Amino acid sequence: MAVDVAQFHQVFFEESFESLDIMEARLLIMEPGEVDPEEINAVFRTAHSIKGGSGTFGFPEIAAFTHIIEALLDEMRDGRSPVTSECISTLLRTVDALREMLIAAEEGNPYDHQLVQQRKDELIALLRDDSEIRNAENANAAQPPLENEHSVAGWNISFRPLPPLMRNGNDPLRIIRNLAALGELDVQVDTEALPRLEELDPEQCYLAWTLHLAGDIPRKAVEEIFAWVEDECELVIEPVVSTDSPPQRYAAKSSSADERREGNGERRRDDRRQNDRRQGDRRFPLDRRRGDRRSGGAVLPGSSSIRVDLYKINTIFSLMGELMMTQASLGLMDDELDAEGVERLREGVARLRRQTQELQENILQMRELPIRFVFGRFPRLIHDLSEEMGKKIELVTVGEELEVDKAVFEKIGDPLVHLVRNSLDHGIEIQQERTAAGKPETGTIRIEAMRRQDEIVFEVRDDGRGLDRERILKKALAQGLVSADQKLMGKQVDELIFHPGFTTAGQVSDVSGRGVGMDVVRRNVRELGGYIDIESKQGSGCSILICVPKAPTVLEGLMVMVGEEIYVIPSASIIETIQVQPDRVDVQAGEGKRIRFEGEMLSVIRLHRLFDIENASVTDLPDGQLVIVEGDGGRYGLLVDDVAEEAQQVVLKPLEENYHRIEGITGSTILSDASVALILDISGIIRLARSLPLDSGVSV
Amino acid sequence: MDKNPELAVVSDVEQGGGYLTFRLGDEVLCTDQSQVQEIRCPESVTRLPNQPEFVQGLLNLRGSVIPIFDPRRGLGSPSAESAHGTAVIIFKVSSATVEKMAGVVVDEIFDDLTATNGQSAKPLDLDLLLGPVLFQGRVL
Repeated sequence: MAVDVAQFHQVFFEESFESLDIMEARLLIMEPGEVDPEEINAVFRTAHSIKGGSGTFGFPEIAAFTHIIEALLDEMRDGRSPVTSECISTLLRTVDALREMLIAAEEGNPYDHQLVQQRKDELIALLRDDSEIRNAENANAAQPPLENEHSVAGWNISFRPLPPLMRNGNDPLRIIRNLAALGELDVQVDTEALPRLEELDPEQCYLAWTLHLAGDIPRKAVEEIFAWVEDECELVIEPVVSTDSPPQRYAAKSSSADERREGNGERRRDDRRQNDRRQGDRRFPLDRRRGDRRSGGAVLPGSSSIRVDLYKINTIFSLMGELMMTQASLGLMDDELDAEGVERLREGVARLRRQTQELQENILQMRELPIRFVFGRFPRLIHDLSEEMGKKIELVTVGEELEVDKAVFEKIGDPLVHLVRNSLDHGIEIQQERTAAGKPETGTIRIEAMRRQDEIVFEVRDDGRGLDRERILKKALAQGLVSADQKLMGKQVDELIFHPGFTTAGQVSDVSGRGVGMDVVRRNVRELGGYIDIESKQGSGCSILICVPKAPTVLEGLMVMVGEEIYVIPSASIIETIQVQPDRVDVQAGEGKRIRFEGEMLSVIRLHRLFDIENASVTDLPDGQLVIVEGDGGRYGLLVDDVAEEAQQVVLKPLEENYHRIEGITGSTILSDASVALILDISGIIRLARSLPLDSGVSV
Repeated sequence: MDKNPELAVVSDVEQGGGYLTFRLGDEVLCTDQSQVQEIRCPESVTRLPNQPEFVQGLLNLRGSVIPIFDPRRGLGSPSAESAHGTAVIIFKVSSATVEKMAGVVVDEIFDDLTATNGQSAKPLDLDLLLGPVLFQGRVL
């Protein structure tokens, strides 16, 4: 069996990111002064597992960096270095740097050497005894960087398995064969340890090998072959190069690493580390998952893999078994379909239906993850930002165990972060201001996740100053988002903050800035078929509610009228609704083919013609309402008779349930008067309009 | 639009045996009652764009959205003679994997005691009538 280590890289990254999160969380609750060594030990273990993994999977620079972190933590654990707030802050920044390195490695990009060097220097400055690290660093500097390794002529490998290697399921012959597949291999066997025949235990490995592998082969390829046995052998891999570069640094496997450290007189510590390594280092990613039941599952942002609670998989597995039994029992009765047989058949089909449904529900649940993985990033965010801004803030999170669909899980993080940043930046006042207003000195930001019928509701609430409507209105006027004669009431003003062009002056900071506006928050939420609600009270705080459907079959849409028909346009496809003004219509081409919108000329799709609707009251441009929509084919203006005031939530009923799909239609929904309305598929509408001949007048 | 579709139910077809006989244009047809969900008065439906003429539209049947067909349209037969006397039969149609519901507008329904004027009823081939349009999106 040839093992491709690369397939485990993803697992390594996921686990490392998780380790970083744990490290971060523990550092955040660490108070300077006397610290329980066990607390530091816990941080040490997470760092250690990253170091071990990065060594195994061929990221020596990450391993080296983590090694320095370990050294500092080790001193802190022994009480040799005091646990100061500077120490903790440095470690937190180090966690960030490490995360950057891991992200870069995952994406195959170079990391920011300068930043990492800076963090290294900071760490080393905190070390009481930096001789080992300095030596290693100096040695490091003397080495040619890894990238220059391409000039190797081959590898000299000394492979001395420990006796139980074969008993643990590893086969030296397979390893040698795999090596031979890489290039020309010269094998010399060392039989010195071979006992006499009567003493020989056939399950023990007594042989050792000296191998010479010729060819320009990347070190990684060679190391991968030994990845599974590295703890069960003495292994030295030395490049055969024409220059005299010392090979020892690359021999980062256990045995040679020991030798190097021994030379530094650090034996005591290394022994212990060696033990740690044995326990924590060598892991089969799959095995470890098995031990991970409580965590339920975790995904990384952007990762398409998912870790699933074993319990859920077991349920599906047993359901699958039931299904197969039902299928088998149905299969048995195809010959004799008498009355009794038909009855049994009917029962079988009913059972089949129930089991299939149950299976479907369980698979949907498999996509669910506890929201605590999203909430996990807030303590750090608050810690950093409150320090930066000189505000005192307490974070309260509620409902962390609530499980949400993976789609929600992945899309909700950024909007929540943005809302929390906003609360911190604009909402919570500085201390003096709070005291003057008779509020507690410490501001509170409360993030809650809850289930409300078929919705998941997230609330970000702060006890800050609330939205300043006067200021928002002034800004919106200045930015031309509203005109002076528009009368906006309370909440309407609040909702201006979601307008695409809206920015407030305070956004120069990188706290709530980052070029992401509330409109992006709203778009993300809409993509999930959700909506946002603001409740703000000037002077006493603001609460923003994000409501998304539990499973995304509910969507938000705007109802439009054409003739006597009502259609729902998904909000996610709508840019804006405008009353056409004659000066915005390009009348050069007859009755008005195109409309000017945000500096762009958009074609107009007349829905009544596309759908052949009689009695449309609006047939020409200047009269009707134009819904500016965006789909796969770009932006278009959709001409309709009338548009509802507000978008609303509709439950999607696929047409396929009792009919079949129709181009341009996403599905149907039942309106409050029990009638059926069609939900438009804007991309499909655009396709339809384009497929029609130009003179049909659909898209004039 | 009908505010309360429940009121439109004329009769729930009782379970167990028997045929339902009805007139569609000039033809008298019959169908196995096990294929019939219920019989309703004609109601207003939501039009579907760019569909064949005999597809009348969509109806909300207690939360399920089902299509209503009027085979008299588009077949050259006279369109609904009048609202009076016409009815909609809601059929259950199964394929190998799913069961769908669809309504068919008919001219007249004969109850058990109504004479069919000596006309013999032809059995309706439901799969032939509705199968293609429901399951393959095709029209025969």
